[in-house]
Amino acid sequence: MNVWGEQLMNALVIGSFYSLIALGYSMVYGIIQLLNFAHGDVYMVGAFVGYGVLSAMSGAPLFVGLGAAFLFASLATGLLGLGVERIAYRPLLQSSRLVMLITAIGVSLVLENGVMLALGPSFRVMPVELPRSGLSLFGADVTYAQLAIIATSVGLMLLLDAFVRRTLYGKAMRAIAVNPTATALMGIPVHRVIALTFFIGSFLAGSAGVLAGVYYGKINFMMGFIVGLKAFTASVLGGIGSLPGAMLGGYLLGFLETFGAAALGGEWKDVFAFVILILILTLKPTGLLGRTGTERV
Amino acid sequence: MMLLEVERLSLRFGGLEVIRDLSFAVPAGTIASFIGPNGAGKTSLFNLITGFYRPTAGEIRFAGERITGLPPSAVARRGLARTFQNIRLFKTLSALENVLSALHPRTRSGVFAALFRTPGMRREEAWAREEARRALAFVGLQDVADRSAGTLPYGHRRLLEIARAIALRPKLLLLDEPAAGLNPAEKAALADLIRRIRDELEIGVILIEHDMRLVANVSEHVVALSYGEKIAEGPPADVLRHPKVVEAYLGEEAVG
Amino acid sequence: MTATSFRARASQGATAGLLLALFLFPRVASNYWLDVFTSAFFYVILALGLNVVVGFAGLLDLGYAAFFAIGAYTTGILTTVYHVPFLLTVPAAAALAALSGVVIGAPALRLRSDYLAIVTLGFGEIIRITAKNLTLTGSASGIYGIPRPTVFGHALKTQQDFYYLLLILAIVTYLAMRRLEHSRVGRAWKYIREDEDAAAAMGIDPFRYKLLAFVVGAVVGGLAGTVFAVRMTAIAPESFGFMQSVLILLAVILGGLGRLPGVVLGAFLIVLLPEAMREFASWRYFLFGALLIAMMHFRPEGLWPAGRRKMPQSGRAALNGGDGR
Repeated sequence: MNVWGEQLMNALVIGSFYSLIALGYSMVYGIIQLLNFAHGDVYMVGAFVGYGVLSAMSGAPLFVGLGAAFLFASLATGLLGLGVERIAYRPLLQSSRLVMLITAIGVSLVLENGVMLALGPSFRVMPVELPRSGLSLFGADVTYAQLAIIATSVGLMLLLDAFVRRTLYGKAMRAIAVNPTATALMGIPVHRVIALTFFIGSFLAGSAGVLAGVYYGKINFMMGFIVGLKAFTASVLGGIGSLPGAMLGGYLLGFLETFGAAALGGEWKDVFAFVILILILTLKPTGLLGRTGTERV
Repeated sequence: MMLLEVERLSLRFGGLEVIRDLSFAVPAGTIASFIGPNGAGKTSLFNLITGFYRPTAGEIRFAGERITGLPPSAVARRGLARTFQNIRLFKTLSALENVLSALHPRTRSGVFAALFRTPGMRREEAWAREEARRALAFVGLQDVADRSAGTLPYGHRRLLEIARAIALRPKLLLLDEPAAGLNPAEKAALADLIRRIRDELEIGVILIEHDMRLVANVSEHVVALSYGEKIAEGPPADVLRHPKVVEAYLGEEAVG
Repeated sequence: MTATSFRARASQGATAGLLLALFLFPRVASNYWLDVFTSAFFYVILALGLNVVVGFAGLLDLGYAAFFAIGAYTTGILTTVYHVPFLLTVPAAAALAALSGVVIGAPALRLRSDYLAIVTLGFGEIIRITAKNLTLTGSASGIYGIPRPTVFGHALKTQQDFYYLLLILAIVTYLAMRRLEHSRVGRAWKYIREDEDAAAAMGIDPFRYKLLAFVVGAVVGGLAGTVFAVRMTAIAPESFGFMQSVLILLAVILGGLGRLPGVVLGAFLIVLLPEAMREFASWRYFLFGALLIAMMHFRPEGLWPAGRRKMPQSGRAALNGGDGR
């Protein structure tokens, strides 16, 4: 009971990270059908920006530093997303999918190795330590930090959901997904909506990066590679293009992976996600909450 | 014998009903036309028949066999060829290579035959090229066989798409607005070509066409659609004068 | 007419000269350069194999190293644990690579073909992690002591032996690819790459041919892996990571997607460029990434001089198979 409860908390924390990143994957795929391979690296950059802010503010009280790191890193990665979209992807929107995919690989390599060249290949230790204090829930030890991470992530997702539902932006996003040309003809600034999508997606990935960096305590330039792949798996699991699907998929993957690793041994942890990905594509390719579409010719 | 039978066919995209409870039949060896104002569902109907869309309800039978839900390539292999409204050629490939694509179902050579250039493969390749040249010659494009499709003038591209479709040796050929953008002389030649396809190659033809003179000139059977429903069917003289057809077109002209 | 035949003859002459130079190269080259060129031939084979998937069929495979690993480990395990002669391990490796190609390719290709990119990436990781965790594959330290092969009574030992072996295999692969390109199957790939719907309307099953391209690529990768195992005599999981896959992809794209001489050029470039800039070794992948982005923006058809053909650039439609959406 005790151990399972703690595993459950681990799953919720990891699931939060996956969900936040999966949202950006899903949004970008939903709007321009691009598998943005560089998305996991945006998460990594978020962690490094957070590291920079926390190092600079080492004298400040813990919560002030964390708050500043969170805000600054999320905004910075949001802007990074904007820049990447503007420079790398926008000029290619009319090109073939293959060209876009290869570009995304290039962006991923540049981000990873840019950080590696600037800060070195070794792991960096975050200059703060989260308090270990917590409480006992049904016999399981739960730290306040875990609760805060889950609450922050869920809060961000609720905000996003409200934004997409309540504003014109959400409608415009769906319209572009269906037919970009017609949407542009209706006077909707397609490029601005796509840019905003990149901003929001990268913002969420960056915030996940800071949270994960602080939570695990160690960061490295390759930390986004596997996590990005898993977040993609999460978005396919939930149904790519569907925002509730991405959130559900993220948490589900968190659970499957945590309990699967507990059962089979930690060295197989990273294989899980990919086996799930291949199974989902075989058995239910639209994902749990995705829609089927007859959109051809 | 009925070559193509469509029974209570419906197609929905979300809340939009594109085809509603449509039934009709086209006998073998006929030249038929689908007419109707823009948005009546004619191209969607082609896409349904050729397997590009899956119907929401209803059945399509071709030469007595149920083909509903088959993928496009399987439909094509059963003898249904089509052209596209906006001309879908393999632009960077030569005219001959374009037509060769239609010989695919009637040839066999696989990877091993290609690697070892087996005698059977060479024979087959020579035969396919000859067939393709014959199809090009049938539409009068024998002289541009080696030019890349994208560089051909518009009228030639329309003809090349037809040559590609007839090289499939189909029982039925669906032409989506073949006369669009052609001048009167080219249209007259097209009418001739359509008749020759039926008479010499014994391929039935269904065309979607807006040019009513061409429709009246070549077709023996007309199906008129409006908002996804059949409003008239029969010989062209009757259908073109049918009050509902006149109304549908007048309505369009009054708006447009 | 005379102009084209002159050009054809000039290029034939250039090819013959180049081949002659490559065959005589071991007489003048140091062991170091012999090794570099052997690696280059090796990447020529891998890049030609991946080109079937990316260049001919227009699909993205990001886990190509996995097939290479499957071939290498099959030969490694069979020769060291079961003492099977090298030549008998070759068909086993090819069959295993083909089988995994079907298992991975079929679910991904039935859907949107760009899912293949991420599924192959995941597959690459599965293979690497599995190789690292199993005792059969020697865990993290891999397999060593793979015996040198005997091919038709001739034991391959020296660097020169492997230079010639790989040179010949590269030439054979090139000729095979050229035959494939100009065959019924090669044309079907081109039709699907140019316009999937039009190809389907001509009775060509896009799924079947995409899967075939993927499997042919897998088999070539697997075969290259068997040779890698006996040349290196030791293999470890880290030789088959994502960066290996990216490197091979870069070779395909750099020279000229789908154009065979371009692919050969690309393979030589990815081996020779790092040699030329050793002092910037840590910049390697950053520059490769920047190069990929730049190529896609300014010269998506690759560095090889453009011929009659061009990369399908007609909007997303070319690979997506739709227009206006």
